[in-house]
Amino acid sequence: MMITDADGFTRAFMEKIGNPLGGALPTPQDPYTK
Amino acid sequence: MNRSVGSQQSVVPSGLPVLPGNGFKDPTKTDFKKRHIFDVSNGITVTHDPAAEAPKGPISAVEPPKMMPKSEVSVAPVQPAWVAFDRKVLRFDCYFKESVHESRLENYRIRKCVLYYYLEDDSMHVSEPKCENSGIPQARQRPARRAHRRETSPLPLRSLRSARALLATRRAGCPGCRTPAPTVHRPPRVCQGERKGTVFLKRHRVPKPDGGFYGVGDLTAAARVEKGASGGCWPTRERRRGEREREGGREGEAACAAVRARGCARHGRSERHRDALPPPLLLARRSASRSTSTRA
Repeated sequence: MMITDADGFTRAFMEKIGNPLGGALPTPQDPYTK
Repeated sequence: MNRSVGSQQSVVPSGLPVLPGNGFKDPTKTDFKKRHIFDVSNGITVTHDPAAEAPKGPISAVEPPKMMPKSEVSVAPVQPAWVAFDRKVLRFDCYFKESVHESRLENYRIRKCVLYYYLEDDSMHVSEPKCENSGIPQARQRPARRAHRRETSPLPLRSLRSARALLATRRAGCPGCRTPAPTVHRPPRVCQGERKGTVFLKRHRVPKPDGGFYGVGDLTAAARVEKGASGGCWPTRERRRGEREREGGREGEAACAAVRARGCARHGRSERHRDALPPPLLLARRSASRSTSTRA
């Protein structure tokens, strides 16, 4: 399970407790699904 | 100050609590008539409640209630987590890679999920939003129950620090398995690592970094892995042994050259067959062992 992004409240909360989150990671697309 | 209680107007001496048994009748009292309460005045029923009448004495005779002095020690109010973090949920967007074994048309699927972390009791659950016409069974909700680390203790928030690292350092990758974040192709391990914390990831490092194709030099090690049934993880010990044999033995070089020259689809750059057993090595070894046995 790869965590890629978080919402604003989560980012604010994580920053408040000392674990600031970075930028969002792109979610890869499987080449088989169109 | 004496108080009269009860229907018989017993007198409670001062200093005693107003409880049954503490009241005493006045022996000098001779008038025992009851007061007239209900009356009719000009055709209208009225009441004369003695308790509702104003006290006859001066107002200052009533003792004011005594308040306890306020303590000077200030105690900071501490709220429990289930009160302070009530209905506060962290939301993470995530995905996992699902291997597809029953179809030749696809090898894996990327399934997007939403991870909810409940702060009130340190629990979480993963939900998968519904995808229209996806054809994936149970696409609405994935495990919609709260995951716990063990039966009793929930997963603490510090276990999600790897997520922070993944978000912060894209190239450094997961701190446990040291796999680059965008190209993680081992979802079960990463998934279990996320659930059980970084200790699991530190314990089960995945030395295969990119999850890509096996090189020619890895064929020997791949054969040993397949032969030894090593549970899918790429063992470092077997890899080193394969490298040593590849460097020193002609057998490995010949097999690798044969594979390179043949260029078949099985050992080509196809991710589907990356875990496949390369037969030329085994065939070469079997033939070599047969030749040595026949010579002997």
